[in-house]
Amino acid sequence: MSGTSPEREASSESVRELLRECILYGIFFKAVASDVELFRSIASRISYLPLLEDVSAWAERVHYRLKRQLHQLGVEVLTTQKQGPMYKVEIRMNGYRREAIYSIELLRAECQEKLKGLLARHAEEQGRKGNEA
Amino acid sequence: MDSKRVVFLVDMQSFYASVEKAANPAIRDKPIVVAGDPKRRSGVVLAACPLAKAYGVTTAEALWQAEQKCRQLVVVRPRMEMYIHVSLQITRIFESFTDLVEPYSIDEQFLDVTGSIGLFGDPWEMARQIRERVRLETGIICRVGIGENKVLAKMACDNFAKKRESGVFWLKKEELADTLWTLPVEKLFGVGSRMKRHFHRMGIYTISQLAELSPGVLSRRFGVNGEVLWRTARGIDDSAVSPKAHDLQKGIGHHMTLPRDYHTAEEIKVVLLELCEEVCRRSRSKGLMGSVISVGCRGADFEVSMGFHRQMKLAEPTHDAATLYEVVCRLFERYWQHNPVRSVGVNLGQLVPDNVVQLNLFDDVEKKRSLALALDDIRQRYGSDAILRAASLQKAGQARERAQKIGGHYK
Repeated sequence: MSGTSPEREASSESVRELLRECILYGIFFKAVASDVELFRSIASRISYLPLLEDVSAWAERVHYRLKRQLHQLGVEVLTTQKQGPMYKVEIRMNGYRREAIYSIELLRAECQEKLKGLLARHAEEQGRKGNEA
Repeated sequence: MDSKRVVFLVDMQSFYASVEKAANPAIRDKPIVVAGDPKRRSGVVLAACPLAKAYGVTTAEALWQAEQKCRQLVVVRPRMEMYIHVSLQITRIFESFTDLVEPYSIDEQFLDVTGSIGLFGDPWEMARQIRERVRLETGIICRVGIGENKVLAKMACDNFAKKRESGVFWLKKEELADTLWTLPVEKLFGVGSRMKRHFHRMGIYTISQLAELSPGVLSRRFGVNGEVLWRTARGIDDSAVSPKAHDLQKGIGHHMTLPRDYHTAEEIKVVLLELCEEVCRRSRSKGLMGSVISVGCRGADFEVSMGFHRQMKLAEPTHDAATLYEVVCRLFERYWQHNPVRSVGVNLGQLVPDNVVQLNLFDDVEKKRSLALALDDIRQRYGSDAILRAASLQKAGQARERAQKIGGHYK
């Protein structure tokens, strides 16, 4: 009798999508947190720190929410490791060890897009509030 | 029991352009091309994204022509090193589905997934998973051709999968009459423009006409290649998907398209010397020597055949640049017709391991070899232009420029 593949058990498409989002938000919140430290040492006219801290905290919350969701689907992130231009993520999917190998360039670009999307949404909300007032 | 193999040919859509779009969200919704330096002759389109192709931009056309077709075209300089990394990354993704992965080119790979079906699902499901992983992990869209052998998988991808929105096509041997055979003969894998002309002269216009011919007729007309084409038309191919397909090297060669036409022997010989150096350096790094040396020059006018390609066999195999250069010069002087030259190439064939060397009473072979290895070591550590021949500093020299490139394109 052949064993059931983990890829076939849980809908692998949604799991892989979720995994990528989880990894992305993990990198995103750490990158912003690292930039916060950088900004602390710079004397700027306007303080960007609270904004960046909020973004980092928000991304961290999303990251952990996605991680919990993955856990419920039987997926556990075991290790993450940078390997040259690649970012290797080892996971356990319903008992099977699997890996995902992301391009660092792609992850960086997607983080940039997340930030852009977040700012656009924020501006839109502010605009709506202004109109209502 | 069904003993048929299941072979995939996975092809990346506009590979170089897709890598650039994945890395830079600002250009994702713009027509882009990856092209060489427009100031030099290398300013040709290496890859065009589907948006640029919609304007009629094609691969290998001159950049100025592409810019005329699409005014808002974004031109991105190639990054060959990154493309190689992404290609290797994709190979690793494929290796998590099967151990039988054979890179066919930088953006195409064969996979024999016969043994993986029990683990990952039927071929359609596995193709879907592969496409999904490549998209999520590299940002690149790929197309999958499925067949029971390599030629069927290749033709499934080129002729059908690329034209379907799903990006997957299974070309079955028993359905060839309704699929492949309906296509014009030039769509057959291995038929180029010249072969197409030959077939048209014979009254063969479709693949079905070719498949229905006797293989004997084709072998008499075209030799072994004729029979190979007949087998391809019938979907017959016994070759295995081998990860070691490229391990056995038959020759080591370098070819260079020059930035302008070279007119004098002095100028051309500078480039020939640089090519000999490069060929010998690569041979030494692989521990190989060769005894057949070939040199080729192409004229400035590609329409008219004005070049030559000649070879010579040496008494002893070598990877010494000076020895190689001497023979290359002899061939060049004998066959060059004093026409302007636009591209040159040097190749070393009949390779053997370099651990057995015929000693010579009149030449210190060991000393020459040590010197060459010391030079290789310096270049390995500090870059290929860290130590150069004085001739390369002349106007005709290309070594310094090529040190910034991989395969003639920017790193």
